[in-house]
Amino acid sequence: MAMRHITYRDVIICCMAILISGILGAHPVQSAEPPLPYSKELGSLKLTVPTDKLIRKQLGIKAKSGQFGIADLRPGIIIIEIFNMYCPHCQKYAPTVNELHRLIQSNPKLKVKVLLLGIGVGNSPFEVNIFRKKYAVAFPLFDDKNYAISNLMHGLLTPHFIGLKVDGKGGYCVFYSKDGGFSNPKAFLDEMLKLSETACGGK
Amino acid sequence: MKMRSRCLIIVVSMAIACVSTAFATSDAFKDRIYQVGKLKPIDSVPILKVGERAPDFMLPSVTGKKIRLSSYKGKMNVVISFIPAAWTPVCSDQWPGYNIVQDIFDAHDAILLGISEDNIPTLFAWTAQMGELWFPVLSDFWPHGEVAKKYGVLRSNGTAERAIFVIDKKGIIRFIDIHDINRRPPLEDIVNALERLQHK
Repeated sequence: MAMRHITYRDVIICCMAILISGILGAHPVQSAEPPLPYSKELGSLKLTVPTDKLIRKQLGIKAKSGQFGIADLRPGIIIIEIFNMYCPHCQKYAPTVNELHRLIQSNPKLKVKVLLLGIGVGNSPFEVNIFRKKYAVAFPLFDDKNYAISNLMHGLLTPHFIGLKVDGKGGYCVFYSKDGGFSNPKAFLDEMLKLSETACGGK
Repeated sequence: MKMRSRCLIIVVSMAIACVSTAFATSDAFKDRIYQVGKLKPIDSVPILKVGERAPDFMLPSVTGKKIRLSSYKGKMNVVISFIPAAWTPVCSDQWPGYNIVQDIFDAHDAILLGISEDNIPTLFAWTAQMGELWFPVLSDFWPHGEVAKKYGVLRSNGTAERAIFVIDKKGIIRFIDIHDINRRPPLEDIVNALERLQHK
């Protein structure tokens, strides 16, 4: 195949494309409050669409393959645990996070309103699977083999929990973002629900 | 032409900036990790090859026991994990992962030996943050870097490469991964190397 020289026009077109894709991508909903850590960065995060149809349904993802963004998730409250199979505290808090999932799933109202998912920062699918099996994690876990999260969210410590609201129109609003685990899943869930009610201007 | 070169430099620089890795560290080491920045990926010249006999060594472990590699000969496969330094970002999130997969090592008749160029008290304090490790942690502090040198993984600043050696029961090296120091070797590479030993 014959190669063509890259022209100045090509570079400009490329930069414009990147700029436009950024503008049209997922956007944080404006709020009067100062943004929480990683609020903006989350909009650029892309995850692999799960092959399992049931998990896609659970997440509200319409695409059957490729990648999806945070704002493509089903509308409602989303709790994301950013973990790492290699992190001692992620291992320590795994049973507590499982209990949080059980609390959500055992309440019919919360089950449809709140979604819990995990992203293994710098972890391959194999490593995420080790973590899933070792701690019998029943909520969806995603890999981050290419370190997309650590490249986006500098200074992040694991586990890190993010609480956000997704509006179903390509917008999202982060109301919680903190490093470290929690010891009382019920109290953590109550805090998430309370914060979500008042956050993002009540939207 | 000048403009084209300039634009290419900008685009390449942006691409490099995008792929540079900032490692997410465990909260278990909060405020105790020394940030080393991005390091030269590999800073040593390999001297060992797959199929060669693994050089023998005896090193002290954090438990006070001395471990000799040849003591596993005829009994167990050995995985050696060299890590560059205690209290640094990637290293602190490497061995704790191996700590939850003892069953995989057991299933492959393998022991893991962790080796660092740090001294025993440093390794003792650092590994205490990881919980109770099931595998021996060895210090190659004195004579400094002697084992790392034998394995061709001693860097010019006295730390070791982030390297994995898989040695079979006959004492023969079956897998070598002298990894980019800024990244963690994927666990599946070690598991696959152990799998291959069983088919030999």
